[in-house]
Amino acid sequence: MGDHALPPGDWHEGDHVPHVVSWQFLLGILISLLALTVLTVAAARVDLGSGLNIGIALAIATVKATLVAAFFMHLYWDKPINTVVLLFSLSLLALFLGFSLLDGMQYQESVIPDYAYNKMKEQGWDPAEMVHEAHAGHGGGESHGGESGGGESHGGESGGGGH
Amino acid sequence: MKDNYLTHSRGFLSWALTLDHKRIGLMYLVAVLSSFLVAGVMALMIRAEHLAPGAELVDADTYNRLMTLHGAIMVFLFIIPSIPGALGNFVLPIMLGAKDVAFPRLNLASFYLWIIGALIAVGSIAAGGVDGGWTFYTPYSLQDGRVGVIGMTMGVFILGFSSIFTGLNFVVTIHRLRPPGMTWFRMPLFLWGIYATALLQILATPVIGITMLLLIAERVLGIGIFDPALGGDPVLFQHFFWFYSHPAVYIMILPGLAIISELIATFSHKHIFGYSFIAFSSVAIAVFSFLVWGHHMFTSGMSPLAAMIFSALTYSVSIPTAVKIFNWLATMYKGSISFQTPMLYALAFIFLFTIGGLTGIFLGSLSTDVHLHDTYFVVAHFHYVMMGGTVIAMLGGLHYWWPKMTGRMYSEFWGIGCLLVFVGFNLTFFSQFLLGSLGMPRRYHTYAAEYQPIHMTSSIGSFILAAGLFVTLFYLVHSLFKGKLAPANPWGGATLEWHCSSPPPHDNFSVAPTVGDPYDYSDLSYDPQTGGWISKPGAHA
Amino acid sequence: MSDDHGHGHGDPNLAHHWDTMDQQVHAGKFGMWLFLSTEVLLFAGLFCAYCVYRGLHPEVFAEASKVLDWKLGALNTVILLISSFTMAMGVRAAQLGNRSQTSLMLVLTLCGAAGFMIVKGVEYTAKFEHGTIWAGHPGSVTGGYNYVPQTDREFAFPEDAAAAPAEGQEAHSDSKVAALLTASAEPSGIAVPAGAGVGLVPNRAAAPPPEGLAHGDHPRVTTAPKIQNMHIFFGIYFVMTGTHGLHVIIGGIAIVWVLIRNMRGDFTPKYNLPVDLVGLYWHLVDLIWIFLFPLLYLIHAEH
Repeated sequence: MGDHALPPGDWHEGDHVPHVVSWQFLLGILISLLALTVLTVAAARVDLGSGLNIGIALAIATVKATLVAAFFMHLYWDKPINTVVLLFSLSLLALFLGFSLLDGMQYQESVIPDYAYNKMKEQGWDPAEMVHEAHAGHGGGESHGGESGGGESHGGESGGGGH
Repeated sequence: MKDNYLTHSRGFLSWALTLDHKRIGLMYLVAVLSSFLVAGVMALMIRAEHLAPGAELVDADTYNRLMTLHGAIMVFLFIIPSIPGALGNFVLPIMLGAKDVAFPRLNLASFYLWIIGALIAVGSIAAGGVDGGWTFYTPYSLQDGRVGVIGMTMGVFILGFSSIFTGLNFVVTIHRLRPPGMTWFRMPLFLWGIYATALLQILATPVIGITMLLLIAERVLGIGIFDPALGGDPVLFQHFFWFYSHPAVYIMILPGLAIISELIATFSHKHIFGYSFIAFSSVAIAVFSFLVWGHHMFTSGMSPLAAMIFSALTYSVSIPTAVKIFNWLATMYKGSISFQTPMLYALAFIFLFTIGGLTGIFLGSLSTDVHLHDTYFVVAHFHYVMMGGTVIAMLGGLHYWWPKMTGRMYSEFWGIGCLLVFVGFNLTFFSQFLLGSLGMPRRYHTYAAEYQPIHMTSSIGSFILAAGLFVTLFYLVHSLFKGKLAPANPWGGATLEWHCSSPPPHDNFSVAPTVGDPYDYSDLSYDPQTGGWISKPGAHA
Repeated sequence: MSDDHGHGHGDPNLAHHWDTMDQQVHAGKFGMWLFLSTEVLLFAGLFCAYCVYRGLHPEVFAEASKVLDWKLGALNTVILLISSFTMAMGVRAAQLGNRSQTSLMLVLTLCGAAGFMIVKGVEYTAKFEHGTIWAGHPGSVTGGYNYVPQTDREFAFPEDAAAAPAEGQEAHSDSKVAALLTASAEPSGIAVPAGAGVGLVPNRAAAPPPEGLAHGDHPRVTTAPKIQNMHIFFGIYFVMTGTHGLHVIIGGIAIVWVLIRNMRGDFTPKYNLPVDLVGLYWHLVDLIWIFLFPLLYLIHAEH
């Protein structure tokens, strides 16, 4: 977008007529956005390792989002307070994601198998006995909450996502 | 009587379709106080049930529903909208020197969303039965037979939008409708508090919205995000829920703190001490409130690392809160304090809120919380903060602005209702601290016989509390008909709402008000003829 | 307006409590941005769920994402980007006071909204046909109540759970699986993924088994996904795209509203705030899709 760095038009503070962007400029933004879409699809087809692939996809998406917010949504010419509002909400999004991920990655495995175990009990099943049947030789006993849940309920399996 | 907002136009539609922030505030006031009455009666039934250890008055199922209804109505229908919706709507534009809020139609929409949300929520509880408490924890809320959960969560979703619209309106109003001369640091502290609250309403409430939508999708469709039987994660639900609901605690208390700052300064007739500290502490509380939600989940299977971080962050909230308390005490120091009813409530607030805040430290500490979690200690703690804090502050604010809203003075003598409330409240809830530390779990229908003396004390206290509130209701309503006409400035306040007549005219200010220091009382003197305070002759050049 | 809020300024579009139109416009935009920030935080919940589950089950996301057709996703991205452009052009035309061009651009944007929803409908239909949907749906083959992993076929069921036995039952575990399965499915004619059992007994009421699903009929065994817990991905896929689709519909309704007002001649170069605000909303819908597209459709690398 270097050739569109400073779009024509004026935007005086207190001017009743809002800032008007030229259609060529808007079209340029659209073309850039479409090009970036092609790029993101192309990048996904190259295996760079999952971390890098996610990183590139999100980076391109961020650039696209910035273009839309700055020019289609006029943030570039608006009062800065509107940009502050957007950035503030994004920072809270990051906070929410950050803390939930920090915790969510850790407790998962220990929580859900027990629940599945109890849920089966509640339904009148005896998970320990079922494990006995299903995996003969892997002994029953009360300590099988985690294992039985893990073996038979999807909640349990999902808990062990790393296996 | 002069033309004012009450007499400006007449008829049902002139109220139902009004765009006047003062009328909307008044309608909110009636609505939230009705919710308070309903939920309060439920609380009394719960306390009556606990007079004896067994199940005497209601059966277990009814008890669970009562408890859920009491919590949900108090939180979503009463406390959250109470001060911003009722008092804030009425006072905020006048204090600011504006003619109305930024978006009057949105303001009215917010009120009607409240009505719709309230009807759906209460109706669904009454019809379907929700009995898991106001937090809707999964997987319990997903089990069969609790169809009321769908309606209830839908109601909360709609109430959330009502709250968002109120907050959005206030933020834009404060940013864009300040008249010339009303700089940020000439704004009364009430406005700072409401501003911080409004930020929370805007930024936290959407998360409860999506949480409720996901809960409905989980119940109706079984999408498998929160339901552990489908591989979902019930603790994630708690993260979602508390990401909103902890800031919501501050949506409830910040406006209370804001009212107290006004009351303390006005009734001490002395400039507020540490204005900018109090102002920024409101914003700081709002920011910190987003960082501490995990302390509700210490015993929910949260990871030790996250629990430690959240516990440590929780302490940080105490700093801006203490800043406020100390500044109020410094304001009162050597002030000429008049102990009129609003000030009595303000003093009760400082006492009760401090107890509530200090017991919060017990619960924010990881090690003690493991023992106290889900006991009556928690119940007592949040009632000290919510009722002893927000409700007492709201009552103080209601008494403070009552002459402005209605144009009538209530009888000071009956201010002793405040004493009943104070004594009753402490009997009710201090005894619950004892119960909790003795190991009495919350939300139980019956209890072991050895708890009976303390439970009875608590129940008797709740009856005294109720008597105090009914006395208050009685004399306030009485004043509407028999009260003296109120002067423009009955207490000697210096903020802008005392510059216009009581009740205010339709457009608030016929002439743009002169904006000065909101806590400068030096040029006010008491005028025994009108019973109000007037500018000293010649004070304004 | 029932209240006779007087307009002392001459301009009927200027509400009484504002001094200038400029003030009103800036307040309106500021209010809209605050509202958009609430929308961002509403979607924050969905992105949070996405991140937590993708972090926990990267293999599920990589595998399940292959079921989605990235070409349709890309097509929808292009449609939304173009509609965002026409919306920006519409706002521009309204600012210039060009009424007919504004209407044209708004109609084009509406076409974009409709096109997006049609493509979405095609995608959803395919998902429902193949049963690659969320877990709680009776037609789901991806997991949840109706799914038993292919690798774990010797899973045993207690006798009393098979409440509605299939015809010609034997003491053979597969027939019990089929029986259980039919008991769990709604009698709605939705193809039942036979051969798939239940990890947990569904608490839905037992329905009589549909005719014709006898022992040995396993129509979907071969098409059932090889990886477990795909329903986690599809649950998230459906709530994310569903919530987004809801926003597309709301945005479409808002566009219709400003289109009508525009044709009525409400807007002038001085007063076109509603077009501007609806435009902001529409761009936000686009913004969110910009992130949803790579996160949902482009997860796996082509090997």
